[in-house]
Amino acid sequence: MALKEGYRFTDRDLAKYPFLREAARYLEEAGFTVKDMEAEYFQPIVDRAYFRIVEAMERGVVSLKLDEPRLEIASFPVAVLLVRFIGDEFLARRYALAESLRARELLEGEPKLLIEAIASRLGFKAEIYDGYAKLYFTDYLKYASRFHDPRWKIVNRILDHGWILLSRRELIRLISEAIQDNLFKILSRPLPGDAKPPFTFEAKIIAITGMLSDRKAKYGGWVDVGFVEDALPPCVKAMYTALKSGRHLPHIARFTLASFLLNIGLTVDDVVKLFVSIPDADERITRYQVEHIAGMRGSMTKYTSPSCSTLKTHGLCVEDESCKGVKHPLIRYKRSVRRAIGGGGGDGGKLREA
Amino acid sequence: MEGSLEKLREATRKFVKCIFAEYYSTLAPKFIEEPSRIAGREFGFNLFDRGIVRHISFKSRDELLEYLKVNSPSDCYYSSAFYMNPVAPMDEKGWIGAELMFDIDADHIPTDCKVEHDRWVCLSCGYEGAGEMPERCLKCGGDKLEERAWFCEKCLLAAKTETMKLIEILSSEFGLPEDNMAVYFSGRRGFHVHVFGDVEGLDQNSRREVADYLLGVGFDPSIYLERLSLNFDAGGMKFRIIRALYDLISSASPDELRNLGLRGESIDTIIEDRDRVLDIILEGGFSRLAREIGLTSLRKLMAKAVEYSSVKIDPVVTLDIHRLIRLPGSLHGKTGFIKSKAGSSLESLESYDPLSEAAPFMGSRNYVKLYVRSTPRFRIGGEEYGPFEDEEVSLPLQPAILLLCKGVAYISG
Repeated sequence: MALKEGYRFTDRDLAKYPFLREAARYLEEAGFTVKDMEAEYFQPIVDRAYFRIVEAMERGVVSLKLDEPRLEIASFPVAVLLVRFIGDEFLARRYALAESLRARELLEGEPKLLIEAIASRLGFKAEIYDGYAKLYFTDYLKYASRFHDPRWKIVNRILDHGWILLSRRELIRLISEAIQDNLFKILSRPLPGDAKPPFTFEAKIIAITGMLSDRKAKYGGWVDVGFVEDALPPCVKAMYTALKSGRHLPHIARFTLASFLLNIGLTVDDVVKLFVSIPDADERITRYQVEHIAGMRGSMTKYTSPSCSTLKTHGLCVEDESCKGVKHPLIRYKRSVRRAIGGGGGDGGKLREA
Repeated sequence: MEGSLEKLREATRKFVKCIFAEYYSTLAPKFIEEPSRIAGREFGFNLFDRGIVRHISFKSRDELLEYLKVNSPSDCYYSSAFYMNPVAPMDEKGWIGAELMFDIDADHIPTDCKVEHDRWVCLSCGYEGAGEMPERCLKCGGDKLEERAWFCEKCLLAAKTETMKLIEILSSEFGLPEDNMAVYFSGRRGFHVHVFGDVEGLDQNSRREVADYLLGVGFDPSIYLERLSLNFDAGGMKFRIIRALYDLISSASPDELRNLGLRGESIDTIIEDRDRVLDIILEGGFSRLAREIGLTSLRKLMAKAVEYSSVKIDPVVTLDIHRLIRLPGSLHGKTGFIKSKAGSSLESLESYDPLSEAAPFMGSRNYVKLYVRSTPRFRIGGEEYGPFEDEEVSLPLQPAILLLCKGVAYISG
């Protein structure tokens, strides 16, 4: 432990991992202040910061420039500030991901002590040995539970006295997830209302905002595609046919079906009609429940239908080949609808959000 | 006739409420365990006259006890979560963390005695059936059914054994200290395990992973075998699999193996060379085993072994990070037993007898005259009662309350 705490990061390390608090301290010691950002000698740093963001948007990963560690270190907080001034969630996600991928690639080549030091900085209880690593299960779950490859499920892992065994590569993968999360949190923190960007930022902000709106026009969202029975994923289809033939559905299945149908754009009336078509149904209660799911009552949150893993846990998953790689029945539906209505190149006009 | 039945019900409800009120004004302080960080918890109650109330909070144990005394609820719950503002609507409470909860209920464990003691009633046509409740009435097809589940010693023992299995896995595989766990008899047919500490920050996805691990959901033998081949000196699930494989192989008939999907050659090896195969299993020689019976057969056996060694928790409870759970020391409205601490170690759990220790009215010398519709023979403490069938009986308070709460008897006289 003492070794980890005592690990001294070199300038080169800080240039590689500029999110470390030593990097901020390094800049303080170098005497940089916010005022400097408007000075001419600071321009290369703003340029590099801008480049970091552009790379994040275009390539999805930030490159490494080690010839001038100071430039590399200083440009990171400036890039963070730029992203915060723009205040766009998509950009914040994209940038956090790109910086974390950069760190991940770099960490792959690092010695054990440095990896352990960074892991412990992120709050991980981790140890690295020859050929494998150990991570405490709560730290592991915090990040690995979002992956969908069965290899990450702890039921397929060796778990012994709280330690999950994993490869060094897998540990680094989780470290980069943590970096991404932490950075995203910082990036989405709003700046004070009266904060004005330094004038050196203005051109950059306009350029980035322009790129953003181009991207968004290209990849529009999708909702409310309507009901195409043949495109229903097998799990929802099974619930739908069961309901129509008057069979009893457990609560979680009824919830799944109702929220799914509402999510794809059916109205409360449509869904209520479907549910009361079965004998014994009480229209008043059904309507109340469906309105609740639709977010018109109670907590006013519109529910998203459960994901594949939730359905699996409840034994409601009915997988077929076309479910491969799908984590959510709504995604599977979207794909099938596209195919069914012949959207061609991916974004059929009908799918575009109005 | 309808009117008099309604009167009987009303008298019964009044009587039960009265007994509950007495409990909450005299004995309760001895049994009630308030949750830690009480001010951050949401409380909810089922009140005899007013139904369910929730989003309530208390600053202290005394405040809680006072509320119980004044309202004497039929059931008391608190949130496993602690919040910034527990009385706010659900999405404004500000979730901070939640104990990790496990519910092991005899309902989820197949026991062969259920056919003997479980009944259900159709509220539409009045038909009564035995065993597990179907989704629809077998006579009229109505779906408004009421469960009249009984519990017997076998069911409770099965739930207890399952609970011990859970605690063992939590401590040896998850490395959780027993000090951070509390085990309770739920007051009805099962046990609750509350876990504190590091696990309180786990989000829903992480809790799902824990539940899947315990239930064996998503287990992939190929992936697991690959990991074992790395030859770490690790215990955990490996030992469970070895034990289950050993049990499976030592007693399996050719037909059973065939039903698991094994093929002729592998079945022959297992049946003819059983002792040798068992030795290989005991050594944990999975790769040798694969050579003997074939990789495909081994995978199938392992999947079965994981299913065998899984713990039958109710995943809904473990996954829900906003769950309201029964307050330890409070009465269960369907039995009149208390949710009581079932020891803090494996040994004390083993000797724990819910039917003696969760019965707060055992000391009472009062007898109650009841009209009992139907009940199997049952035990509380050292005494046995019943079976009763459409008869008037006079019983001590504890068994009387049980029958009244279960709705199988009315107060008479």
